Amino acid sequence: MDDTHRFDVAACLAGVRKRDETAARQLVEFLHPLVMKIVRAHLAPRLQEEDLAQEIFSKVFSRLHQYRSQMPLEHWVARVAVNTCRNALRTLRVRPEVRWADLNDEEAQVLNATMHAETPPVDKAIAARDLVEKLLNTLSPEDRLILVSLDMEERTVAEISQLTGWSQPMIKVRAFRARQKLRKQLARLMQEKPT
Amino acid sequence: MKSPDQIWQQLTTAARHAPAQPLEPAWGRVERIVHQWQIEQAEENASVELMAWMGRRVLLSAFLVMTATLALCYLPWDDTWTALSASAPWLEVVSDL
Repeated sequence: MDDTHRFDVAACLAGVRKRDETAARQLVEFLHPLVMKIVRAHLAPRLQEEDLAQEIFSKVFSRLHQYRSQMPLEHWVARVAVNTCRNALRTLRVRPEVRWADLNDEEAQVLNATMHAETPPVDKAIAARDLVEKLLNTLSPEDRLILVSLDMEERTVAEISQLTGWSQPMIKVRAFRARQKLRKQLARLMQEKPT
Repeated sequence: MKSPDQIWQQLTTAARHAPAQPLEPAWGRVERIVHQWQIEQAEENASVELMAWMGRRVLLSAFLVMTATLALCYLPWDDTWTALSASAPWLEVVSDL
C-alpha cells in the first residue's frame, strides 16, 4: 500500500468520524472486496453472505473509534470480519460426518477421480469446492477457520495468528487435530465408495 | 490408492480454481449499509439526548428537594407567617378551615 493510498484512507476515516455520508459510502466501497473475500472463504453456504457483510460493516462503523492507525485498516477490518464469521458459524449445527450417500453425482465423481488420478480435477473445480465445503462442515468453527485459512486461502500460521489473536502453537495444534478429523472422514468415505 | 492427506490436498487445490464471484458490492448494497449506519447514528444521538434530558431532570429535582429541605430547616417560619397573614388576611381564614 503506498503513502497516497494510506492518506486517502485516513482522510476517509476522518470524514466518517465526522459523520460524513459520502466518506462512509467511500469506506464501504473500499472495504467491500476484502470483507466479501473473507465472508466467502469462511462462511458456510447456508448463511446469507450479504447479510453477514452488512453485519460486519455495522460492527466496523460502531467500533471505528477503537481503531488505532498503528496497524493498517484492512488488518483491523479483517479481524472483525473473521470473528463475525466465526460467531455466525457457531449458530450452525456441526454435521457429525459425511457419508458417500450425502455426495451428489459430481462430488462423488470428483472424489473418485481424486482417489485414483494423478492430477487434481481442475475442470470440476466447483464440485471440488462443494465437496471441500461438506468436509469442512464436519469441523468446529475454530478448526474450520484454521483449515480454510491454511489450505484454501494459503495463509501462514503467523498471518492467522495476527488475524485471530490466537497463539501460533495453538493454531498448529488445532490444525493438526482438524487434519486428523478430516483424515478419518476421508478414510471412511474411501471405505464406503461403491465398487 | 492415495492417502487421505493427498486427497485433501488435491481437493483444496482444485477448489481454489473454482471461478470467483465478483467482490464488488451488489447494486444498492452500499446504500443499504450506509442507511443502516445513519439509522444507528440517529439512535445513538437520540439515546444521548434522552440521557442528557434525564440528567437535567435529576439535577433539577435534586436542587428543588435540597432547597425545600433547607427552607424547612432554616427559614424563620413564625416571622414569615406573621408577615404573610398581616399582608394577606385571607390566609388566616384558609388556615382555620
